[in-house]
Amino acid sequence: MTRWKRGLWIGSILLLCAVFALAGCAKPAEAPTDSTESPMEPTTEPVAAKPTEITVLAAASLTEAFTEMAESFEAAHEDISVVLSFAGSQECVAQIESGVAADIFASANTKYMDTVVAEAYVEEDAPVIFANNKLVIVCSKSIDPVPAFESLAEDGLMLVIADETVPVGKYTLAMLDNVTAAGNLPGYADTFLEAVVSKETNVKLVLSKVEMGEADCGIVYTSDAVSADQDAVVTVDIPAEYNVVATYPIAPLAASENKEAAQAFIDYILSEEGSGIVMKYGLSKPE
Amino acid sequence: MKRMRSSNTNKAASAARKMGGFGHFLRAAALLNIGGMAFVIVSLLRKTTASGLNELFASADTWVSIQLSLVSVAFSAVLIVLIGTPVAYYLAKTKSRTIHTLSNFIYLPMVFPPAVTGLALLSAFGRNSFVGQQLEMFNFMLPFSFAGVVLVQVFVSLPFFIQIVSNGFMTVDHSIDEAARLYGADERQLLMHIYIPMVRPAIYSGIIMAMLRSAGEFGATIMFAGNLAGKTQTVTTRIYSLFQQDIGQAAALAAVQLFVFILPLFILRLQFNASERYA
Repeated sequence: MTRWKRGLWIGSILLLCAVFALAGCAKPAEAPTDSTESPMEPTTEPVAAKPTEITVLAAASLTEAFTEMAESFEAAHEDISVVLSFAGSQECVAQIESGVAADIFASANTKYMDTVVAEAYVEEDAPVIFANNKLVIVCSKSIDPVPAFESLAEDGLMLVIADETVPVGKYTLAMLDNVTAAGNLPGYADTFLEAVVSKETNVKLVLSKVEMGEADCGIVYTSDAVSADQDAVVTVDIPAEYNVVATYPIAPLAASENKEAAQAFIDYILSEEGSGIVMKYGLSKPE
Repeated sequence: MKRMRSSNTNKAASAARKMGGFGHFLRAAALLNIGGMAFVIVSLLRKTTASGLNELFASADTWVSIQLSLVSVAFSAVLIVLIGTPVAYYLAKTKSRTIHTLSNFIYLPMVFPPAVTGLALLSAFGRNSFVGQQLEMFNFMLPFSFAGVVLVQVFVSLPFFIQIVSNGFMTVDHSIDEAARLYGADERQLLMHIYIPMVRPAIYSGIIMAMLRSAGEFGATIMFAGNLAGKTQTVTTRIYSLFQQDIGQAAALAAVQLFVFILPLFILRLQFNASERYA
């Protein structure tokens, strides 16, 4: 036993101790929020006796709604098990293009659905709009007083938005364009963008930064605000005349080997029950 | 040239023969590994398109991200040398068991998952941390700042430098050390005039390794420093942003980073490793 080896042993033991010490003094988690879940990780549902497995690639903003959707769907269809994989819509597209074995694609943006339709991964008349989403401001509770939409850019606040390479970032810029076009708040868009400290690559990251209090306010979907840690953030509405509506299309993939089961899940999402779940998570039913 | 290569191949083959049947297996495994690596790099290049490259360099944000990467890596390398050299020297020379045991903690960032590093740094230096609140009184914030980018790089790369340089210091012959002491050299003179000059290749190698690790830093950077062109967006985080929109441009930037920055440094480091070995 060399000294080096013994040192390593003692080191590992010390490390273990430290880990347990940390676990011991950590505060018990208050009601766990879904938002801490990694949106990239596929959630595997419990499997019954040899059910048909369908894989759903869904936009990260659908994490909470689709997790519950899959659970209640599986309760009604014991022969089908739903595997969910959440990522940014464009990452889902990249996965589809690289030939991932999946059955359904749910996008946060019609543009990305159009892309896969143009590339024949989805049949032309297959996509259906199943939900709408809107933008909302989330502010850290440490900000006092809570700013109004009009003063968001003027209070020296640190803002985070999503990068323009992801749909929610595009909508954020479109919303600012609407403000500029309306002409009621001259210079708003410019001062707003100057207050932006980071453009996150994922809407959940925008929310996390505000929840942690690293940034003061951020712009997310209403569906994200619903799932946010309500002890940490408050929401501020964006006036309807500026707000942007995001439409969510869903479609089975042409290469799916379980078309029937996939269609059953899509039908469920469009049903009364499915719409109820969609609305529960801050999305709205398309008119 | 051609002859040399064939003699090298013969040498590898005869080495394999000497080791018997298992030797052939080992050789096949090594060749498979090398081939796999070549396959991965060629695949990346195949995704790179001329139009992707053109679009990429038409964007001012690309140039800004390259500049920011270079400047932040330079800053972190200087800090790493300043902090790492004395630590490496102390670790190489101390006989204290406790210090040797505790020194394992220094190397922890090497095995931290990026998300853990990001979260840990936010907890330690974020706005709501004790340190963060002290800094905020001076109107200074680490998250979302250039200093934040450098902090993450120093955190993740420092152990690589310390490990390489400390190992280098340990190779210095003890008799040289004793001779210098006999002539009255103190610890500072030993470090500056004996140890550092003697292990120069190891120090260069450590700096390059730290720079490579810093340039590739992604996960913790995006969590701690965010992603804003011109302020905190590095080449690596820009590749990820582009990946969400245009894979051609993302692959082009990845290829540029690989061939203009990473591979040259990597090859340079192999030179230092070789000169160190045969010194």
